Amino acid sequence: MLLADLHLPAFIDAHLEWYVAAALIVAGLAASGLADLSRFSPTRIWAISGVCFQESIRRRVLWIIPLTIVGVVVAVQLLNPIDEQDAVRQTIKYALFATGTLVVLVTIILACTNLPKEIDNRVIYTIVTKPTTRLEIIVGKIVGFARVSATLLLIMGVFTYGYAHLRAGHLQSKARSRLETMSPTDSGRLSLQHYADYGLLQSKTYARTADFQQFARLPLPEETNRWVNGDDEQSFVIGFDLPPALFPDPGTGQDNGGLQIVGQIATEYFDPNREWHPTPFPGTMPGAAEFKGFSLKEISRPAVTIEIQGPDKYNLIPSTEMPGGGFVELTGSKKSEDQQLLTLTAVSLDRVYQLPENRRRINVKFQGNGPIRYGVSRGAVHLFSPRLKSLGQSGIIVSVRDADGQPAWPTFRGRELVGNQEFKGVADPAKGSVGVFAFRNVAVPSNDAPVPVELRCGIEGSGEEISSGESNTHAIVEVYNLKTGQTSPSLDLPIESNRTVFFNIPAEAVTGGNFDVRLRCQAPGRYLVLRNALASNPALQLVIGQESFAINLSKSLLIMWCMSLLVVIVSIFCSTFVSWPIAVVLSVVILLGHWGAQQIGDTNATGMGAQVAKDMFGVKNPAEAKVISSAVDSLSRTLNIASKVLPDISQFSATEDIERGITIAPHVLLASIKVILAFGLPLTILAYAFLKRKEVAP
Amino acid sequence: MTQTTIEYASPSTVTAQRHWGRLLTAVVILVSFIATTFMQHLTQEQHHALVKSAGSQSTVSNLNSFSLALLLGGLRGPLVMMLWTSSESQKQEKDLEDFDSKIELIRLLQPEFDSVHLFQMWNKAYNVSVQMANKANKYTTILDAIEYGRKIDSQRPNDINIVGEIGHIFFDKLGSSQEKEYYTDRVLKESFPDERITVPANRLPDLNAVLTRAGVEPAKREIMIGQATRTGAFTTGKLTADVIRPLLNGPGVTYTFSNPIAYNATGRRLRLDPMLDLNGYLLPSLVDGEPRPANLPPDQEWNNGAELQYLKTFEPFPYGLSPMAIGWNYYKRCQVIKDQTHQKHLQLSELVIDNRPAINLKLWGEAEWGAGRLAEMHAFGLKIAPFDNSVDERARVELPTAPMPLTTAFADADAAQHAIYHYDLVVKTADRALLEFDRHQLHHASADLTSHRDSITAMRQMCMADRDYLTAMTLSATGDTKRPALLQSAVTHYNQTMILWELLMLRHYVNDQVAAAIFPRGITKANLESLRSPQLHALTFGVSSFLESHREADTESDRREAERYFRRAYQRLMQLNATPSIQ
Repeated sequence: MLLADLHLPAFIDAHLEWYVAAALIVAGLAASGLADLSRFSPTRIWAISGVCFQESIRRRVLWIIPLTIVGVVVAVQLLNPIDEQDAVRQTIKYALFATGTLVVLVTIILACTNLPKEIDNRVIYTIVTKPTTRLEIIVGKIVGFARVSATLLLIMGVFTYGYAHLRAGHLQSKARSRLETMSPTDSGRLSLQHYADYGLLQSKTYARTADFQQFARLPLPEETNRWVNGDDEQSFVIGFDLPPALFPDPGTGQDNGGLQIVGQIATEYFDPNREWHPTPFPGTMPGAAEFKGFSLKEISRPAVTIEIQGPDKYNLIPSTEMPGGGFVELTGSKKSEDQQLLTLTAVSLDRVYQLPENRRRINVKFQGNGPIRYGVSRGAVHLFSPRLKSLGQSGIIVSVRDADGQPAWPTFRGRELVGNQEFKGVADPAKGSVGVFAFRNVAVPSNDAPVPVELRCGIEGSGEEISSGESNTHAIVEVYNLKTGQTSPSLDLPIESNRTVFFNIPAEAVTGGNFDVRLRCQAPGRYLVLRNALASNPALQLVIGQESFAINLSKSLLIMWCMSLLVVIVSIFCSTFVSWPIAVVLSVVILLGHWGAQQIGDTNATGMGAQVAKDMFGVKNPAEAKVISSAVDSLSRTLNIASKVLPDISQFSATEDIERGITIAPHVLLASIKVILAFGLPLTILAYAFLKRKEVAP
Repeated sequence: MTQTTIEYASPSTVTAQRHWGRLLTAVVILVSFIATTFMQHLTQEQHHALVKSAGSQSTVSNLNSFSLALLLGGLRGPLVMMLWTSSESQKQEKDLEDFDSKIELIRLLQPEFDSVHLFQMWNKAYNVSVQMANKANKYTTILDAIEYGRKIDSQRPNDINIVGEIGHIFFDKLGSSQEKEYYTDRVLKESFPDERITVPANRLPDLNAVLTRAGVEPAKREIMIGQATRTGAFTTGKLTADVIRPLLNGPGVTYTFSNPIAYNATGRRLRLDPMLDLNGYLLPSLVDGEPRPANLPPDQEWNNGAELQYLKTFEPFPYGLSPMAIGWNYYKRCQVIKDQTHQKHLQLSELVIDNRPAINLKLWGEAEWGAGRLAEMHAFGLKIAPFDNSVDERARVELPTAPMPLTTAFADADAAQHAIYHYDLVVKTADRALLEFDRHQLHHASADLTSHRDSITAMRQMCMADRDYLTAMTLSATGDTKRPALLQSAVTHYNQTMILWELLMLRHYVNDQVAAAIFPRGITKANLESLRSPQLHALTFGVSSFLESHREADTESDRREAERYFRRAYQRLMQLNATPSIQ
């Protein structure tokens, strides 16, 4: 529990591993003397490493390579990929997985067994009796095994490159021949064409969209309002920063006085034929047929549901705390008149007071009801604070502002799922919603070649489709260039759920790097499910650069080599103080420790203790529950701190990007090097310190 | 004092001994390996001799699962567990990349668990296919489920669970689901091989017009013209070729068999393998199996191990094999396997396995009946608006063609032939279904099958009447001698139809209390046949009026359906200038 009770300053907590590493290096060197460091000889290290390397080769580690290669080839035959790209992706994945596994297993066994065996069979006498330091022995062995892993990686890398090329070439030629007989309307044709044209071994650099918003109709520059559809299909969100003066100091006996949401929201019916105003019926109720398919229960009067979200866009004030559950009928507001929409109580706002001063932002989300469009302009909604008014201020809190000082536009969104937005398809895309992917300051290629774009989204059906005949879903895409003011011709793309569709847009459409990609969907009764802009793999990405697969593979192998280096260091460190079987287990524990601690620590997030007490132990006594709860929470904190001083092997992400055809970014390489420095270096010094004190020869 | 001398072998002797020792070990291993291979071959031969058609062709992609398990040692369990978790979570997240690879590995690692295979086939056919938005991709995902089943079937033939599940996917998923129209159309077309049509250079300019007249959609026309321009020939499905044939023939134009490509480059199935030859007969490889043992009693059914053995009695299939037909064949195989080998199905009772061939034959017949109605609508040039699945299609196609006079010229004579074929197939399936019900009753005497039997009999009469009526229409009104006999036959069958549907309604769509209250004294559901036709009709009319006035809703849709068939038969009799037997 000691670690759990440790409350470190934020700047130490953020970089704990570096402080621990520095402390270990200094302590290790200080304890063992700096003399060995001054005698450090690269020549001797190379000689020792050469012996390790020769010994490993003599132990026939290279014989495992053909077996691994055969394993990969067999495993690849068992694959059942979705398409040609998936086949190559899985081939690379299996080959690199096998490579990584081979290298880690070989290095962990070699490095863990080497030192204990040399001590047992007294081979080490021949080294320690020579003028070598223990530091040179440790570093020499690390370099030796690093050379072994480099050799393995080199051979497997050549195999991976050759095999992936062979498969990609074969599948590309098959794709070309399949195109000759494939229908132009087939939803897979665009992708197949892309594979045939660009090949299947790619390393792309993507430009990410800054934002994705959707509107009931395309926002025009001359329009003061932007529109969303009702029927709970779309919404808009307006942010407000609450001033510190709103919240009185505790103990003064005052409260924050609550807030009123005031604004003008415009409305229009998007299908006049469906408009229906209820009137009292004399006699019996008429049948539904008389309403042209309109349900009598349908809400036809303009109304919005208001939600209050916190700074992280999650719900902050539950609807039960809001008048009418947040449901507000609009009173036909005219442009010049504000309507008081909703009042937030002082008690509800106290929840915001718990947040740090710089994070006291609330986001007010408006979702329209019925077959009605809702329009909002910049600054159309504001808050009014009676408390600020009583303090002699205007009492008005305006929405957050843009860089130019104007009230920012609200954020316009579709129905939100976890990490996704829904976008409704219609029979006539010209009359449907429009989604806008905003690209800003993109470093677009300077040549005139068309720019490849990838779109991938889920498709949800309503089940109302006609049984006979095909019913493809089409994405209609065009690009609006902010610099030139030009809109590119529309592209009609047949798409499939969760399959990437590839297409090109003209270079002039992206000139300047600031442009909007507009999306419409032709598929009545269906919804596109679009991953959010901030997701690791957003719905729409622009390819702005290509790199050779060989270079990307080299980067991947380099990351693996860094990982093998860490494995060697940890293994040698363990083998300096325990026997080799224990060293193998301990090495695995150290390498996986961070991941395990983090998993358990994350699971036991705040409040988990109380849940464990309630669900697992069924404790009803509050005192007992508190004991269990605090014990679990302490364990969770301890694990989180412990995880920081263990190497994070997830930083060696050697395969994720390359198998998805993405160029491995320099920061991924740097992350793995940082782990080596933060954990490899201190463990090397510790290994040296242990070996220095170990009696290995009489 | 004795002196002991220790003699050390010289280093060269030790090396030589070691060398020979290693060589001996290598030779022993090699000999053992050869002996094992030989013994394995021998035992497999024996196994094949004892269990016909057992075992699969050994390929790397169809690696013997036990070898795989051996290779993986103790890691098989953890690996399978990981694959299950991972594949199911991928399915939930709708991320299907490498999902199928994981399923394939699970199949190889757990070959002996039928419950695994049943789940995975259902998983693919139902859970995964619905994640596709486009019907073509849904369809190939369902084919993938069938492919999975066939791989298991090739390793362990005649497994009741696997055979039954393949039948279930064909019959219920492809033949009866929401998208059945699309799936059935694909299966019908794909049951034939393709045809390669050569086009001489001088006919190329006309090709677009020919294909347009043949009703080939523009996107496909473009592909065909491109192929013909490049290679002098293009390939198309048999049914499309049949439409093109009258429009494109003459010197240099040839139509030849072409085996379609069933898989894409990554090994994913794109379409079904052809099951019929160009004349609509089942391929011999799918019906010819092991010869029937001489000592088998003549009344005992025999499973010869062939894929589509039981469809032989229904051929030819000039318009293709429907998924229901294929599915029924598997259900029948399942039933015979149960009787021959006494296997127990994991999920279904013995009763269900036994009665499914009969009940599904009835359903297949009803589907053919519906297809016949649609073809008849086309034949008369009548169109029905696109409908969604909530609308009862049958209700919309039953009556529009009924009042068509005998003298009406067909708008599409081929469609009339198509309708006649469907009605004739209904008769064949009905005859066989009645036999199947008899068979089931022998095994399960307590089963009450009268409702099924009565509706099959009524449907059979109706389709015989429609078949004869349409056939007569295709013949010359003056010169053809067969025409009067056909018309007379139609009159007889339509009259019978009216009686049978009225009997059906009174017997099965009127509850016992109502029957007891309003049936004439001495008349019960059991002796309704004793009534003369006019009496029966009067009773039906009276009962209907009573139920209408009392707003009886439980059987209303069934009664309406029976009334429609009655009215259709009545209207046809009017066209035939015949006196309905009810008068």
